[in-house]
Amino acid sequence: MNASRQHSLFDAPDEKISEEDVSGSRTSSGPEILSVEELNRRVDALLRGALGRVWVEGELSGIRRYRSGGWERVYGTLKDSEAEAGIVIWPETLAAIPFDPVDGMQVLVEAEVGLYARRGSFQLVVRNLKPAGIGELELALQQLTEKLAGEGLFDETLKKPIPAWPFRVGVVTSLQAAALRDFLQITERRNPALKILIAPAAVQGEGAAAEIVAALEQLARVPGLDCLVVTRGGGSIEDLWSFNTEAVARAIHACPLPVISAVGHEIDTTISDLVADLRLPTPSAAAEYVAWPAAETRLRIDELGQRLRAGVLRRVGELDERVRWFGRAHGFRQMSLLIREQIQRLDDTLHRLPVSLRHRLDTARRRQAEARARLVLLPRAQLERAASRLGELRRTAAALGPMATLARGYAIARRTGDNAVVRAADDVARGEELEIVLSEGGLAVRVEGRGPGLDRYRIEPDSRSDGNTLREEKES
Amino acid sequence: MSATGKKKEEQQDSFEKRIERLEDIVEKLEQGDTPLEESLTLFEEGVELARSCQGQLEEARERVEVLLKAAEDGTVETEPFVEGEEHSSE
Repeated sequence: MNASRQHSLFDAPDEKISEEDVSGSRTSSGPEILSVEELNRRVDALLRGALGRVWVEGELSGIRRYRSGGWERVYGTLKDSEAEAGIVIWPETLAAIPFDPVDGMQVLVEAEVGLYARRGSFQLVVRNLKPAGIGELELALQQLTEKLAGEGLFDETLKKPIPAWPFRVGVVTSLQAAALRDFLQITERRNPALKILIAPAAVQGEGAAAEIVAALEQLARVPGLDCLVVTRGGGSIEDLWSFNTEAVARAIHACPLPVISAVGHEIDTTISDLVADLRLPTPSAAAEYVAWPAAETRLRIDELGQRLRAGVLRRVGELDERVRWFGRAHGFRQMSLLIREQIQRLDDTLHRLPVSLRHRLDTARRRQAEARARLVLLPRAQLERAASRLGELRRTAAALGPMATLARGYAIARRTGDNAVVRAADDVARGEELEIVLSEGGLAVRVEGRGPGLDRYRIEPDSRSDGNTLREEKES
Repeated sequence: MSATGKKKEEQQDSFEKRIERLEDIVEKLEQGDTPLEESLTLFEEGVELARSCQGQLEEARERVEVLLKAAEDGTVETEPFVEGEEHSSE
């Protein structure tokens, strides 16, 4: 198939080799009879000598890969619109090419031209292969991106959420990197409570990818980390290359902790960015992200603490009102003892508040002091008499809430045996004894059967119920 | 080298969970329909949560460390990070 080209080579042989190889045939007497093997050997020598190494541009097609004993090689064809030539790529060359040669790829090939003696056809033994019109690293990046995307490694659904308030963050970067210095400065300023564990790894050059993978694996073993950050500052595509390797991509994908990738400048997107749970443009951006502002959170907790206090004081205040009303109505002023006990409990709790919360307590304190002053005014004898009833009062504490409600005509049913509040008809059996607590006094009753219950009232529900109404309340 | 041995694992819920619980409690109390006993119990729990969260914010231990080695069982070796210093690493 390459006959015409072989002819032209014989017609115009290279000077240097023609003397050695062709001279023999010219000095012999008769026509020299060559074996096919010998012919091919000479053709091979001519081809190599005449052409040496050549650069050829064309499109790859019919690419076939073979692997045996760990040795991978590739056969195929290099073609353009007019012609084609066989190529072979041996393992050592393949290993040096960062991308995968595939069909349809436009390439520049540096090759030695030789003869494949078995078939008598010439071939290009590829020594170097570059994509035409695009950088080889860009191409490799493109290929790996497509491959991993095809496997679903970049799927949004796989992204683990980053905790809103991380306290312990693992960082994979070089200890020498300027990126680390920036990162630490920012985290320290924003959140001194954030603890950082650095797993050192080279972030560029030979072996960097393997070190990054190892660092990720090490950090995954550390208990209590909230998330990881993989980072380095800007650089050339070659500098950032380890973050574009399949090994690093798979290690990030396999990491059980959420991983943030912050590699290079804003404009650089690496494979690690795509596979990570969160991509941030720079090491500084990553620092800002993980170091949530401690001061703001502190204020937020303070605010919650204040609302907590306001809520409980209002609640106690309401109850105080009710008990005082109850006391006025029934002469049980000693009921306030229960309030006193509870206010003490409140005081104890308030006292344990963090200092930052405590200094905001002025209003709450004043209200408490007022409540206490009222209590102190109770006559001593009355207090003592009341104290003897405290045990009983504590048992009925749960019933205290609805005192005002009882006065409106509701009742509480308690099982006489264990004093349990009865909430459902199913809670008691026929014949069981109950105590019905009324606004004034109580009744000892025996259960005879079920009544219609709330169904009776369903048409006009009491929407103005004060919210404190127990579920077991029934209109008497 | 220092800080050899297993790190104490946090016994309590995460910060996030505790803040959420605190918010729940505040909302419950603000709705005002919990019985008094429960209100006080919730309040105490809320104060405890606020305290522990604030406490965690104030906590200042070794802030930046370098991981030397993490074994499979979760045992870690670290050393404090000192900028510009050589760190031994496995």
